[in-house]
Amino acid sequence: MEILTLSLVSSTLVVATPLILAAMGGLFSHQAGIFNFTLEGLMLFGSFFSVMFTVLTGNLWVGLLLGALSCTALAVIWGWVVVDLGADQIISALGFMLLAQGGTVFLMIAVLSQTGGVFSPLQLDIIRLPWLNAVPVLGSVLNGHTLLTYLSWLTLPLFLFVIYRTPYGLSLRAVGEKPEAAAAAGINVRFVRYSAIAITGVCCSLAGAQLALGLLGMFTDNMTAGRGIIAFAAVIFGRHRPLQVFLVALFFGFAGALTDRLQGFGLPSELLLTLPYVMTVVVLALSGWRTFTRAQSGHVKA
Amino acid sequence: MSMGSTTGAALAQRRGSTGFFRVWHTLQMPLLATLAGLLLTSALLLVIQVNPLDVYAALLRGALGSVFGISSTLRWATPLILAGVAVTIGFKAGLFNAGLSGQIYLGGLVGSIIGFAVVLPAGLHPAVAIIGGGLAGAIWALIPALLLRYFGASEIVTSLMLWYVAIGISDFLVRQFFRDPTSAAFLMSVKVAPDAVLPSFFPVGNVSVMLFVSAGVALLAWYLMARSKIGYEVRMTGANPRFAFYAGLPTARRLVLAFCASGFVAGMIGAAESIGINQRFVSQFDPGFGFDGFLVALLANGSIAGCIPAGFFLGILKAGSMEIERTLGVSKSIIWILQGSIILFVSAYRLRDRINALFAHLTRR
Amino acid sequence: MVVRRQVPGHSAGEVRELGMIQPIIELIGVTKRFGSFVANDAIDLRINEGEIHAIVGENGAGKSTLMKTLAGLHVPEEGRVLLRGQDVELRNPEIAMSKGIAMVHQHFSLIDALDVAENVVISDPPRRFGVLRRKVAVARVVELSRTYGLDVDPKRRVAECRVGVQQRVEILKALYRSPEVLILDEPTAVLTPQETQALIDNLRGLREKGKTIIFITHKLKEVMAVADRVTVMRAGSVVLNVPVAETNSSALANAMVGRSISVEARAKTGQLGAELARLEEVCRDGTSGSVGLDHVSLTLRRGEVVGIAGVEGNGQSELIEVITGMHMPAAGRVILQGEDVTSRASPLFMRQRGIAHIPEDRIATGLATTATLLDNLITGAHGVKPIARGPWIDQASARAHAQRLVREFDVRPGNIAADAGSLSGGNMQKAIIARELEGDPQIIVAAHPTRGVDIGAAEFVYSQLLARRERACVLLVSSDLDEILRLSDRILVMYRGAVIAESDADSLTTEQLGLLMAGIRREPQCVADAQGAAL
Repeated sequence: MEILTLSLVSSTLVVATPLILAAMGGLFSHQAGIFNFTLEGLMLFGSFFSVMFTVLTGNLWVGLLLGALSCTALAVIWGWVVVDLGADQIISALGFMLLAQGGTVFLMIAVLSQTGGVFSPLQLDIIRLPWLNAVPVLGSVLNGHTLLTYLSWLTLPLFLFVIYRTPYGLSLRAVGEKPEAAAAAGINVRFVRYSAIAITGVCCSLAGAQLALGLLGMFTDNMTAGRGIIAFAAVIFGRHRPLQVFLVALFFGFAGALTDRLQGFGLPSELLLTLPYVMTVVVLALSGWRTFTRAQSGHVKA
Repeated sequence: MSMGSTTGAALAQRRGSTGFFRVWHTLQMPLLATLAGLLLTSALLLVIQVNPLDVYAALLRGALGSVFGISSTLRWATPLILAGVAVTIGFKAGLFNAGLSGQIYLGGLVGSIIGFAVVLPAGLHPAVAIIGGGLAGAIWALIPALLLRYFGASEIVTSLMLWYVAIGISDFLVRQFFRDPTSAAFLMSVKVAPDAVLPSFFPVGNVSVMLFVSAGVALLAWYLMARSKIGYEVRMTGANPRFAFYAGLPTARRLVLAFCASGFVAGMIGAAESIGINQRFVSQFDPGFGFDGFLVALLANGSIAGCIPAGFFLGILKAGSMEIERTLGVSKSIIWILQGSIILFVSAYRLRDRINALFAHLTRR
Repeated sequence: MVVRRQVPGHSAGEVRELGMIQPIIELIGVTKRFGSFVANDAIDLRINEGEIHAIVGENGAGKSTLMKTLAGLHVPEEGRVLLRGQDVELRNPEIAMSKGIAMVHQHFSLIDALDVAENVVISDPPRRFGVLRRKVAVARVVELSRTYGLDVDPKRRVAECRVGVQQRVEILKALYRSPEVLILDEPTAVLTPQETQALIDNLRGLREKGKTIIFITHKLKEVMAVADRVTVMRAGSVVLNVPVAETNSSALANAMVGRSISVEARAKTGQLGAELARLEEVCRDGTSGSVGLDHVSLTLRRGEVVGIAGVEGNGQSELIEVITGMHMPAAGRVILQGEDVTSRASPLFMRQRGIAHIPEDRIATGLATTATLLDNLITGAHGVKPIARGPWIDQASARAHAQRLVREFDVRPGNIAADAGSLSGGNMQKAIIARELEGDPQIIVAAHPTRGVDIGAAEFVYSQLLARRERACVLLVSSDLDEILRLSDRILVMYRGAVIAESDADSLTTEQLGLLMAGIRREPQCVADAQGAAL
């Protein structure tokens, strides 16, 4: 079949990058026992801030850095609302999503005097590593992505190490499973939660930056269009474990890439665009029987 | 994982009090969150050197200062009340219908199809269209409800995902079969039959009899929930599903029923918007009623009847936001920021506790 | 200061004899409030170095609160804490641990998903360059476990360890920080008598190694067995503080409850009636990793109280779920009054057949705490006349019904419009019992009916259950042996999901029950059976 070519693999990697970054970031919050539904809002903020600061400073790297900082600051503010003010995690996250939609539009007008969208003067470069071509078959596919794509792959070994091989990871897992017990062992539960949410913020910001600066070269209103929710679904389906989440996000990326590919074959685009969402629902349904045990089974956890 | 149950619990923090205090207790968090939202938007407005008071004055002027403004407020209140009711019905059962927009969208599709493809007596036509739209919404809501029932999949995420699917299916069907050939860039269906259009009763604007239907649906849903056996079982299931199961209530059926009822009300919104306002199906016709309904429900704080005043309040914001943009040149996105921050803070109960403690501290001195 | 350590060649015991005892911890006027509730009211307390100090009192007497203050989990509103004569502020657990005070909590504070070593070192993991040193962690746990004779497998996941082992892990976790003072909060609550004995031996060993031990319990036998000194708390205050040698169980018991108590003899059954229910060879899996049911058979007759004894988590909850229809058995039969209902079992069906259920967990299962007391009291009755009127609920009848139950069962405060969650634990339990006993149930399944309930309310619960015995069967599950022995006519012991013994209540002693709960069958008739088989 012609559609199952190597270039499909390559575009899977491209489409999956923001999903992987956001989902890997999201799992940090979940490891700390924070049900973080803000990924969508954080990604949107991340897209906008990275473009805004790139426009303002004229330097892509400064744009990325300041974008990540602002996005992380906003993530921590949400953290304050749920950790210290006791707000419902899902309700407040939806508020955060609306705040992101309104806030990005507002700032685009206020700071950049633009409506609808803003072009970035600079884009993330495609990196070509000659030695990668030496890898048989996949060499050409693995090559030629943005720095953030490679970074998204690095998150897997990095997060596995941090979560399972560092004292911080030990605290993180303890806080996520039994916060009172962690507190009794002298772990600063608030610090662990805030830091986990901040890491989610950094990752989602980079995910948004990949969309805006890596793929499109611009920011448009509500450009994340549910990708953050798909990333969230990956966190849930992957049971917030790094390897599983990574693979699920990659799979969702494949669904997206397949959609793009099939569109080129003259199939109705409206229906095709629903494919990733349908797949997410199916996957959630198949995983749900273990992740959410509810009233009907008679075993509800808190 | 504590999803539906926390939503329900966050909304049901009324303990051991009755009468006036109960009402006051119900209103505390919405008022506090609105105040926090106003502070945040005011700060942003000051940064861009606009006087916040001017903005709020323009908002009120635009919404209530003229016959046209009032008609606009009523026009928006109509769907917003229903959206709030739809979300609150879910809350009562401990469920969160985050995919309201999907049910609205399909309701709009089916409502308009009944409007232009079916021949019916004049008085009956809009009623059938709205009920048909409601049924479409209920069926769409049935999917996440059943996924929850049989697989335990979070209704929040599945219903939200199905929103995108509803858009895809509806747009596809309209493009393939019902597209208005005269429409160029914009995707819209052919017009509904004249007798299917909801009659308007206001001198200007788009205020249809649907306003009374909305209020009526809210009151009916409130009465059923408070007084009927099924309503009681839904409420108890929402308050503590494990208790309801243990006590022998038919929890699974009640959860599915409540979610479908929520979807039915959402579907009515779509149908009414299509046959009443646009008089056809227009792609992307929903300006975000899902979110708005969520906000209405949070402001009503778990009370179905409370969605009526909360819907009017949000109607004022919506009607007034046009005026802000028109006269002051301030983006109406400031209203989204206001709404977003209200939602962000509305369940932050420790904010209230801290403020209460602060007051107690000050009065002791 | 650290006198004992500077006297080479003297064991702790000798130091005591030399009269060098000094208080290691001294509390002066410590007060802790939660809102308007005073949990600790101006407590004065001295803990001497190297002693085992028992703190006893009823539930809610303020023992745990006081110890959490020492462990840095609560900051008291008033009062001073002196450590070796120096004022200290124990603002958080980390500070308390660094000052040498460690606490073993009542509800295990172990993290199931981590292994034993990770749990032990969690408060201060060995690290190098920010990396966790797992091998070092494991080595330290092995060393600690050898030093104190607390046998554990460091690489095993905690979720896979038995309760007694988890307790040892918990103690190792506290010892890991080399504390001088070790606080144990009700360490024997979930242990079998044999595991308890092992723990007591361990505590003696720790004392010999110079540790000071504070030991919260409400079991007086343990106090008499192991403690050097005992403090009795009641309603947030210290009411007695004496050396154990100078007191006895009944004096302590009187001090605990503030009046003389006499355990009255149980009224014996009259007539055993018809068979109401029978389980035949019921099997099922456990929920979330606990044991399931292993070919459980059991018969319930009108006119008896059947007690299920056993250490918690040996299948009692699973058994109740089957009988009440909350969970289907995987194999076996459930027979109600001669009719096989296995495939039709559901909570609704079982309730319609007259099975009432006083659940284990009041708040999670027994009530909808965010709904009103009225709504909680009419559940079940809401579906039948007079409360049900067509599809509607008749408000006046519902109110009358709830008012009557509140009156009859003395639920206080009896405001039926208030949320059920605003009631105290004892009154929640009364409300549940009021609802469950309504409508003359045939079988009353009562799980831990007096847990966390004060003595007055517990007596009320006992009298209600015994009063129903003539007309119904009561199936009582409890981990409190005294409760089982006092109420039951017949006792079944569960171990690892199976019923391993059944006997008349009169022919069992506490010791025998304890052995059975530990899964040890060493009764004479077993020996006789074995001999018979050999012949």
